[in-house]
Amino acid sequence: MNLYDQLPCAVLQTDLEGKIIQMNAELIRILGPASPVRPGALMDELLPPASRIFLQTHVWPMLLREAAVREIYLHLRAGDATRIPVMVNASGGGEGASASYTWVMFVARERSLFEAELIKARNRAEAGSHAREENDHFTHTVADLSGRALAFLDLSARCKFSNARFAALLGDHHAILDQGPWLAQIEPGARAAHGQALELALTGAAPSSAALAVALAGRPAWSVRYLSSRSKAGLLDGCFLVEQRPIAAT
Amino acid sequence: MKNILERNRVTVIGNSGPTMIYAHGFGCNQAMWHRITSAFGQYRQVLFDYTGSGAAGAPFDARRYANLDGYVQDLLDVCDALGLTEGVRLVGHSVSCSIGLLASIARPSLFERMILIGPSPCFLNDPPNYFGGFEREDLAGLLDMMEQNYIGWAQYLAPVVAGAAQAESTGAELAASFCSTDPLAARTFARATFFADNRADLAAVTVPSLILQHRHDALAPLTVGDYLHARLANSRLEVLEVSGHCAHMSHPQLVVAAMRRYLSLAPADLLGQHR
Repeated sequence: MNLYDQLPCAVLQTDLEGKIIQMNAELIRILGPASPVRPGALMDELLPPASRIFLQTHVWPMLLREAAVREIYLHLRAGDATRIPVMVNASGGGEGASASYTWVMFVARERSLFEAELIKARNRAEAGSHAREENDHFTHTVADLSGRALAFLDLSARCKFSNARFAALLGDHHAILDQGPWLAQIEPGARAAHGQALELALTGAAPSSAALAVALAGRPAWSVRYLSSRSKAGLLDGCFLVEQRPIAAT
Repeated sequence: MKNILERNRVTVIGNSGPTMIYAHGFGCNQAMWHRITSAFGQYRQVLFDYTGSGAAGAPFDARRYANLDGYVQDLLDVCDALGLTEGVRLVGHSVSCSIGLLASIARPSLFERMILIGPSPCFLNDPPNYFGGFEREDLAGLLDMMEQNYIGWAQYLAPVVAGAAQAESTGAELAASFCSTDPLAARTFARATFFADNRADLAAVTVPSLILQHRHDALAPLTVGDYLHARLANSRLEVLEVSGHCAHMSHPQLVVAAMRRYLSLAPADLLGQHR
């Protein structure tokens, strides 16, 4: 028994075209007694179709160009037709009759499952991210089409959402919203009334306020109502600011 | 025009003699031709990468490349950017043979003759009369396999963290192996390649061609070479006594010799069917 046959991993030696020269004991054991593949056959026969394509389109070109490949993931086809995930390193080369490649394969069942889960999670996250972008776009479009200025304040009265008309009505004041709570925008004379309406909306005590005037320096005045917002689960999560005005007849 | 040359990383070797353009197959880039180009110094040789293959940093529009037409357009764009209008010798590998055939239908006068290494008009089986070698579900397996083989795991997982608009940044950071490709571009090219069925287009090809068929090729079996030869007007079929799918890399001397023989033929001798 030689060293190759004592190794706890599969070892394959092929010629430059992939014809099998030697297989070690572990490879023969992994493939199982039903596998007909023996030296003289092309190593393609060890692989199911998808791995065969990957071998021919990626692995061989890399091997022929760079004389080695590392950590390639492939499937072997066992004698009973099951697929065995393996990590493969290969190297070799040379010219003439003695030239060959040595392929070392580690069975990677657990790792393969783990990586497949990672990829699934990544794809889910990406799909979620796309869905959120679409939803954002949809929400903004609907809010802009509503014709009224709209904004959403969270429980600490910070603005989390506003539509285009809201931004237009606030003008330069809109930029300051990112740094401070909404009430700081309101001029001191009207702040108490807005504060009370906001408080009632955020606590749910009065889910819908009366219309209150918003007068900001250098901007036309408009009026707004505060409406409580509840999450799907029924919990108060903030309030909406909704512009009050008759929608102009077209 | 300059941006086409950048987008497809066009390389021109030599500036005299007839023009030869090399089109790489799925999985690699123009670097696969380096053992061939050194033998044809008397030609003006043009190499390029399809958009998204290799380290091409251009934004990748997956819709344009959803089928082979997008790749045909890349090839024609490169010819246009270089001002090529006639007399071009095309050398294609694998799926690029189909891309070249389609390009020659679109512009018959652009190409003078074509050398097709390991061509297949359709990789899928269509029983009872055509066996391309693969079933549709094999492609799903291939896409999974590619997904588990992106060199640089952290990079492949990174886009989600960075947000959705990431294609350019990750493309630039991929490991330098010449089979590295932007993941989206690679998946798109795989689908376009393995779902293509260009059998019906073969009758429209008039430009003469040499089919270089590998004796044992898991991707393009002998019967597929025979099928092509029987349906391509003015084609020659030469079987290379090799196993594998890229003789131009594994046995460049055989491919160079076959190319030389074919390139030396007078135009009148290209017409008709020869084995």
